[in-house]
Amino acid sequence: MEILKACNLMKTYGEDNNIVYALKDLSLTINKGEFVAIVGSSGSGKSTLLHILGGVDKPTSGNVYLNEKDIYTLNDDDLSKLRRKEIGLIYQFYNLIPTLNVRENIKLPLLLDKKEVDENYFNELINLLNLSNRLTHLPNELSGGEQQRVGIARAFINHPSIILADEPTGNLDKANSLEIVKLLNEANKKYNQTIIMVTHDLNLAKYASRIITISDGQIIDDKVYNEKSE
Amino acid sequence: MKSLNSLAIHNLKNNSKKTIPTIISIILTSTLLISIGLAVSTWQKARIEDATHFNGDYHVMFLGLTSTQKDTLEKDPNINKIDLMQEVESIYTEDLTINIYTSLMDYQNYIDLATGKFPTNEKEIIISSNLAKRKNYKLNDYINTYKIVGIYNKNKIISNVDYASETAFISGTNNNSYYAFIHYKNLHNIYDKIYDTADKLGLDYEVNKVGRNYENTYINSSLLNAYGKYENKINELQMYSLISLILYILALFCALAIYNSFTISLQERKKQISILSSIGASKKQIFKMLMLEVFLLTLISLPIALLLSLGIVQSIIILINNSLHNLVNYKLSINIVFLLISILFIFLTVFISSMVPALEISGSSLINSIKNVKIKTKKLKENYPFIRKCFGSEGEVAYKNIKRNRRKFITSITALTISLILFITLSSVINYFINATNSMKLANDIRINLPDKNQVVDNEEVLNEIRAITEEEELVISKQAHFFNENKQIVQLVSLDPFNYNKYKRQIKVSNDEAIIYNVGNFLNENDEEITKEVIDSSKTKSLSICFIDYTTNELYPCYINLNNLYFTTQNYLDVFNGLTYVVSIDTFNQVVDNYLSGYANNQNFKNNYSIIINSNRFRELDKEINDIINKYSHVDIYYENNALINYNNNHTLLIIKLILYIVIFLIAFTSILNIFNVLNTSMELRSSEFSILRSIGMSEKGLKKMIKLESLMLMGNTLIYGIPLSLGIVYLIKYILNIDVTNKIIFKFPTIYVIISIIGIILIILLIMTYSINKLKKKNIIETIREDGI
Repeated sequence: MEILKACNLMKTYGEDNNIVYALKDLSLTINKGEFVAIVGSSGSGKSTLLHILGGVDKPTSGNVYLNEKDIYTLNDDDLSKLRRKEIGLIYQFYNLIPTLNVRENIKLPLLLDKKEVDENYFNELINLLNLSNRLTHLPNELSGGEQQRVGIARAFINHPSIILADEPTGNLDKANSLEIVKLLNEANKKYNQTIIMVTHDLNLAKYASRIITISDGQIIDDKVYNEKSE
Repeated sequence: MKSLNSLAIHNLKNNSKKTIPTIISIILTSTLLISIGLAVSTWQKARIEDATHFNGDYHVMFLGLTSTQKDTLEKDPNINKIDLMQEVESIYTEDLTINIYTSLMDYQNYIDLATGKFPTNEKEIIISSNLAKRKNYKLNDYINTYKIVGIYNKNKIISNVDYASETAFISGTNNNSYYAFIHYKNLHNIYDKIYDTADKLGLDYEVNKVGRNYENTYINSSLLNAYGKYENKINELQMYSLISLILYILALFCALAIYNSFTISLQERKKQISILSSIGASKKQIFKMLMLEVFLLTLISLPIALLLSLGIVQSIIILINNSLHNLVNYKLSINIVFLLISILFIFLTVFISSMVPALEISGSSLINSIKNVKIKTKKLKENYPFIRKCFGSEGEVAYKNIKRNRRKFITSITALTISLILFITLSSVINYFINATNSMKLANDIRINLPDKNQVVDNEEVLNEIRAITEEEELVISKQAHFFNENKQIVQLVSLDPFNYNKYKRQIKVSNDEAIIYNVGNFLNENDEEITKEVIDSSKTKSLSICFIDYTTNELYPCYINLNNLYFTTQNYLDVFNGLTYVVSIDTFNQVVDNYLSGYANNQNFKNNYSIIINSNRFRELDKEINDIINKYSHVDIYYENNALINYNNNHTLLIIKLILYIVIFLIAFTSILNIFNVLNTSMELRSSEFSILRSIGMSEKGLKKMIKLESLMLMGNTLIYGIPLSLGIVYLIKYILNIDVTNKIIFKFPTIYVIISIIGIILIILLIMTYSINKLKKKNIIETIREDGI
């Protein structure tokens, strides 16, 4: 079932002679429950694509449909609501709110949505992400791996339609990186959660069910794998 | 290290958005401090010169000393210098007395010789240029047996401002007693030292309200007061407490403004410094680099501040001198000590203000700097239903943010609170001074008195001259005499000239020739405040009599004149009446005076006593014309006061004082706004990434505004909660200090208007900055803002 569709996305920076194409007429479709890895060299446009898909950066032209809704036709309030309800973002630098503790950071999207927390799901998540003994800590008291796990929990807490992870392991060591990707894989399987992950690490990309390769703002390869790495 | 130094200079150049506000902060605060220092030293110098000119240049003078007492003085270890003089004689002329003194002291140090030479023996004399002018004396003329060998402009020992006497000096000694003019080594506990010297001289004293009153001792208190030394310890304490309090607030304000500028500009650069540290720069190197920046900033700012201060103070002095020509002649006084203290204070403030954040940054670990947060793990409740209900979930996030990030919050509150306190305190104090000056305001007219002791023909001639120059002006000529009523209350008996008498009667609607009783007197109430009220119970009084007091027996004698058909009023006529006044016709007036003269007076002639009041806008031209008349009739006693001109000059002085104070307030307000803007704007900028994260996870723009609004509200609330009571406390304290040992006490009034202005000001500033920051944030791309925060 198609959940996300991008049509003829174009993103440029600069003007006239200095114009730089980050995305060139890129189109793609993502189905529900897919774990997609977008790979490519630095500057290939993979992060730009992810941010445009997540509604945090606007394309120069083209459309993005999430659950058949063109997200860039929405006004600011509705786009905020969409980000809150439908999209979970995971960043390379975790981007947690420094003044909120782990529990508060994870629950923040629900708080903004004025929704009550499903305590069972919350406990399940923190157990899965091994954060149960870190709930009252502030972000600056956590390791990088722990902070990223909080970032993942925050992205998952609202049952979004899609999780977008921008180099989630870019700031972590090999062991932690592997752990994070495994967790994403596990969550994908357990909750049938659609995940799009940008990475430049091909070894980690192998955990995804589909790998899209981007170069110079265009898709040069798109492969679906039935057997995933363990 | 060289590359780090060039990096420091590069930073200052390229980070002009932060460098310029920091430089402006240093310049403004330095200008404020240096200007105050220069103004105070100029004012103090003018006071000292005034005191020296009018009273002489010494701390204390002892009269009639014997040789033994003179020897005692010479042994006093506290005394720096004794100038001894002896009286020779006094020569009486028809209009002044010439007091001649002799001394062996070196006159050159004390007398500013205009022409001639100093006396070398007891037959040579030097006189003042004033005396020479008044008596038309020239060099080589004789005053009795003394040959004039020199004329001086000014002597720094004995005042020569007394119109009735002049001072002249010869050389040598005689057998008369000594006048000793004493200079102490220092002014510390000067009054105790004076008492000690007087005790050693065996002088008797009486204890008075402020200290001891020794016989044959004249303390030059004007000069000592100008140096800030008061015999009354309470006055001294009062002055120093007030100065310390205001200086303390100002210093705190300046220190905070500079500290904030540096903290903010360095906070923003934490990451850059961390990168330097990560590539191997030592803490010492980073610290040195930061200190170089601070040094350069101070080096740029201080000369500008110095020039600005000199410009401001000099302009004000020119303004005062020009508008009060002939009355004052202030000269800019650069007191090196004051200046050095101000500069040292600025240097210290700048270095301490920059050192704290610099040490913190250069000493902090790399990862801490990268995280760029300093947040306390504070256990908070998970939910705040009240806040959520009022401000939504965004409000709750804001509340938690403030609770856990108190340091930044407190910095902002402190900046705002200090600015608020300064504004309310200074404005209220200025208001007190303005009110005090207003209450001292004189009547706005010209008054001339021609006393009864002049010849009748003289007074008539002068009157005619005055009439001639005031044909177009409002002129009131009255005869006035003071008597008593039955209750021994002083009564002013007034007879107005026919034109004004009729005009007054028309004004108060009295038709026939009755006695008009201006029934108003000045009294003190239970709080010692002057109030005016009716003196006579008009409902019970049908007639009044006029009496005299025989001062030998203190008994009242009636003058056989009863005033019937009384008309009581509280309406004055052109400020002619002062206190209980019986306004009568010229016939009644003459009758009273005749009775008085026949029964009790000997050689006084009240009929010839004229009081003239002129109301005119031409008060400046009239001043010259009246002075010409006074000079023409120099043999006639004419009392003249031009209240209109005094008021005009007073208003000018007041205007200038207001101007100076408003410049100070402007500098403070400008620095405050800059400081607040810097603190809040940078705090918002530093948090722009945090705001973008919130937006990326779904907080709407409306929600973000709500969150920032709550933070602003808490900021405003806290500032007002702390600022207003503290300001009122300080205003009350200043009022308390000013009221110690003072008869006319200042009543504490709630400075409503300033409180309202400051509340509106604070709300406006915060709202403006918040709106500005939100708009700036709106224009930013979410993801780019988040990325900017990453390294």
